[in-house]
Amino acid sequence: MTWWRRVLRRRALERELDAELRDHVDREITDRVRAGESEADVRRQMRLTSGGLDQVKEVCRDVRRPPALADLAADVRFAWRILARNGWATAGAILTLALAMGVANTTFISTYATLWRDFPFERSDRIAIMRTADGRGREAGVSYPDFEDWRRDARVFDGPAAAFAIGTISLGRDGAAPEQFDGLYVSADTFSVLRVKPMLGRDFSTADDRPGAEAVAVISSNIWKSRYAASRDVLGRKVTVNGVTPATIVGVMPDGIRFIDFTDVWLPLAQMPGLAAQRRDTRPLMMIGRLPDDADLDRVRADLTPIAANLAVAHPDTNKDVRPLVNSLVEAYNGGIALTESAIFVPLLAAGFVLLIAAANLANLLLARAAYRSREIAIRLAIGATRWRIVRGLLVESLLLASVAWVLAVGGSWLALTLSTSPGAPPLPYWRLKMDVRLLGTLAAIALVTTGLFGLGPALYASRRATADGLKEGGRLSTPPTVRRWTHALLVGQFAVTLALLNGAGLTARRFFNFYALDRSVQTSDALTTLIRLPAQTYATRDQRLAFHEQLKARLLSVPGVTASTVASAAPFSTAGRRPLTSVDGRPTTDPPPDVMTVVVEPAYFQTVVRGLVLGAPFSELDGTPGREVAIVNQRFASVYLGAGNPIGRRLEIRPPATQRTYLREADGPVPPVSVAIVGVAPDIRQVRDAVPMVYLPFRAEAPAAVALIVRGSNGLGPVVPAVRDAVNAIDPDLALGVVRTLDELRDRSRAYPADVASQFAKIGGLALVFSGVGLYSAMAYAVRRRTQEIAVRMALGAQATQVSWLFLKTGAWVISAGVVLGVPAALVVGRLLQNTFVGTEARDPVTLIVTVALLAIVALVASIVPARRATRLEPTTALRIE
Amino acid sequence: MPDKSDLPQGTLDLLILQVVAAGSIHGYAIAQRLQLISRDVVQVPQGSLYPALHRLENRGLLTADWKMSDTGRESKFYRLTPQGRKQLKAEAASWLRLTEAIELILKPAGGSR
Repeated sequence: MTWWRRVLRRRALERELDAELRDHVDREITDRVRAGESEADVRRQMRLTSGGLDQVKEVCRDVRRPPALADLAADVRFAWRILARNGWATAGAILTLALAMGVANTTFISTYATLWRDFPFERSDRIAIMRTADGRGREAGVSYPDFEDWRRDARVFDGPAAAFAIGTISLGRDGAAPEQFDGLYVSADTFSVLRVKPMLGRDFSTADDRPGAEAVAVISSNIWKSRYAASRDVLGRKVTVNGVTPATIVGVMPDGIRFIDFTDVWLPLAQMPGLAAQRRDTRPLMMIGRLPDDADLDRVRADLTPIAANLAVAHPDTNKDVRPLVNSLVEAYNGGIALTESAIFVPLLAAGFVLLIAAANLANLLLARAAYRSREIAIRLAIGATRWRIVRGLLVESLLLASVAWVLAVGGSWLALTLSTSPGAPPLPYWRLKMDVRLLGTLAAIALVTTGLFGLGPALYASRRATADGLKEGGRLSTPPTVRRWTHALLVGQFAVTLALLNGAGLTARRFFNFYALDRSVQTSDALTTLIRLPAQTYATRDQRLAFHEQLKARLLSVPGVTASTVASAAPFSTAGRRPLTSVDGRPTTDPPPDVMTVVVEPAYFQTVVRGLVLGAPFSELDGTPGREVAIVNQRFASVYLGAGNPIGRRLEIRPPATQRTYLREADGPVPPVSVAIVGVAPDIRQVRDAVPMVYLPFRAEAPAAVALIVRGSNGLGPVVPAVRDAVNAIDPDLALGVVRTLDELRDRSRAYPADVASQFAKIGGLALVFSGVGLYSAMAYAVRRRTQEIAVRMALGAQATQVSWLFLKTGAWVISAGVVLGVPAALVVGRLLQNTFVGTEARDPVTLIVTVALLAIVALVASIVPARRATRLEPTTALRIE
Repeated sequence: MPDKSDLPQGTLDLLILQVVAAGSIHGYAIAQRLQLISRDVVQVPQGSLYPALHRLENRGLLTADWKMSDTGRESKFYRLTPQGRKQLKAEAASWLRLTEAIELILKPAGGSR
């Protein structure tokens, strides 16, 4: 029988013990009566020899149970009774701690999910990614010829190395309208390096990845469902890739496999346009390989460096000083995104402070109770309890509090995570909310330390006070001054932290409101936008692309309900390319030059999309032709780069081309910068999150292959969508449209993330406010209860209700004023932190600060008035009878 | 009345094991049997018998079932576990060895018996 069953079966054993001993007694009596003794004599004799059944039982019990455990069980029962006696206060403290831990937990989990996203591949941490850096430290990928050399000579990998390149791929002529997808050109071994198998069909063989091989495609389960209705006949289906290449679908990847992150179509690397003729200094590829168990990234570096050195000798004009950059794939992937999102740490920090506030509440509860219990402890010490026994009892109590709170927190956040993950698509690829054992451990430690420190400390103090002291003070002992000082200090600290947090939440919210104010410069209503990507094979020259757009515009404007149509390299609220700004007014900028956001627009953009210019004139139809190299900048650009003075007529030098993703950056070619004259200043609008310096260039100058088409309609956009599709396919039946969205939709999506940060912050600030209020309330209520008799005496002696209220309001007022005195500097510090994290946040905003202080004061006053009023309503006679 | 206490430490356990080894038996009968066999020298009060029984049960040397008995009520019957049997063998052997040794030591001093 194991010990725990013994504990559980305590009652049954007790019954058995009783039955067994009675059986013995009955038998002995029966025997001895039969032998002639009287029953009463026998019983008396038995009691004399064995000392009564109860003593026998006690000895038997001692034999059975491990004593420490039994005592522990008693401790737990005792602790539970003590906690339950103060039901509301205990529940409040536990809930506060649980809620704070839960919030910290969920905040951490979502932060972690954002910062660290792992690929769903077997041992994804063992995949290395290789890129290059040149002598000037500029990062690039790998060229195809270099990749072939590296792959052939590298020895370090477990299996062959692979390479891939990102590209947009359209599918058409397969029975559905042509459509654009995120695509990836992958060498034949890519999927085996990733250790991914298709769920239908096959992936690429070496034969597929040869120049001149028939084109084959693997698709994601995503488009298998949306475009091919999840039909098994999809294998072998003929489809036209990028409007020109006939291909066959040979495989479907399982759900969730969209390597790199949004890919829907994979093609063999050999199908990548221009691959065969690729120069060594064109470096669009990423190389990946799997590390064997005994190798690390340094081994890979050591393996690749001599190969690169050999290439540098063999091809000095392209490969001189080019060295391999080796990272873990997962780290490289996260690094590219995480750095821009460091702002998500701020809510995490705020959650930590809420945890502190909750801990302070708990501390106050425990402090108050320790004071209350000094008498109980004194009595127990007096009748012979050891110090250790008492301390252990208190420890158990703290442990019980902490573990109940912890269980509630973990359960609550599990529930919250389950509820929040189910609907809709994840906000980021590979976003997975999962509980982290380390964090749960940390939280448990925090709970234990909080309860242990604040529960045990005062209790020890109380137990150390002379036994006589504790007893002398009798049942009406007032709270010891030390404890009261601690309580007040904790309350003040809480209010100071709350003030800083709330103020921070207010600042953050205001900042986002300021951002949204920028959106008024964009006419978002009744406008839709989609991406058009003209394939290089059919639209090789700028004039061909200009001709296409001219035709398209003519067709669109003839559609009833369409009032305007324009194209730009990026619609508002979507990310745009950046180009290096090499000089301003003939003076070179920094080295390396700053990248400024650049959008190529038609003249109509500043009527159709942006509501006019602040200064100067929009582009004319001739702008962008030779001799008319002009630009329009936004207000932020003017203030950052042009300083005071009229921006019109100033000259900038900007170097094409754009770089979209850092890990696909092409080595900067010897493209000379273009000199442009500023002809106008546009209002700031948001491309991504915030207003940044922007330069608009005339569309005619380059007519990029990929553009956003923006169409305005007058009577609802429903009929316009098919009309746009028809117009595009009437010109080019193979041309695929991207996703069609309204500008309103784009705007709302762009707000989702900042709104999320702001609301997260607001929630945490609100929670801090509630906790502080609850903390003050319970401290006040406790004080009122302890001083009930005093109040009754005062009132019986004729004190006025207001005088009695003031007794308690005084404390509230003191806490509030001290809290403000400490909280305002703290708020300013938090404001500075926010300003550094979220560009555009005001560090000190008097309005927000005043509103925050007022809100806090109201909460504090309510929290102290309610218990104080209750004190005045006491009936003196009943109050005196209490205790 | 013969002296009934003063059993050397640990011998009660051995005696109980020996008695139980004869077959399934309840507590009262164990006490009776001990008293009978020892010719009233060994008289075990409840306060020693039951803690010893429970201790042996706890150590896994004895096991017990509730069975209908001659009184018409259920009684708790103890029997040896295989481990108990082993323990009994070992302890009995060592006890006999020890008493023999003690006898050897005491004989010359006490002269003839």
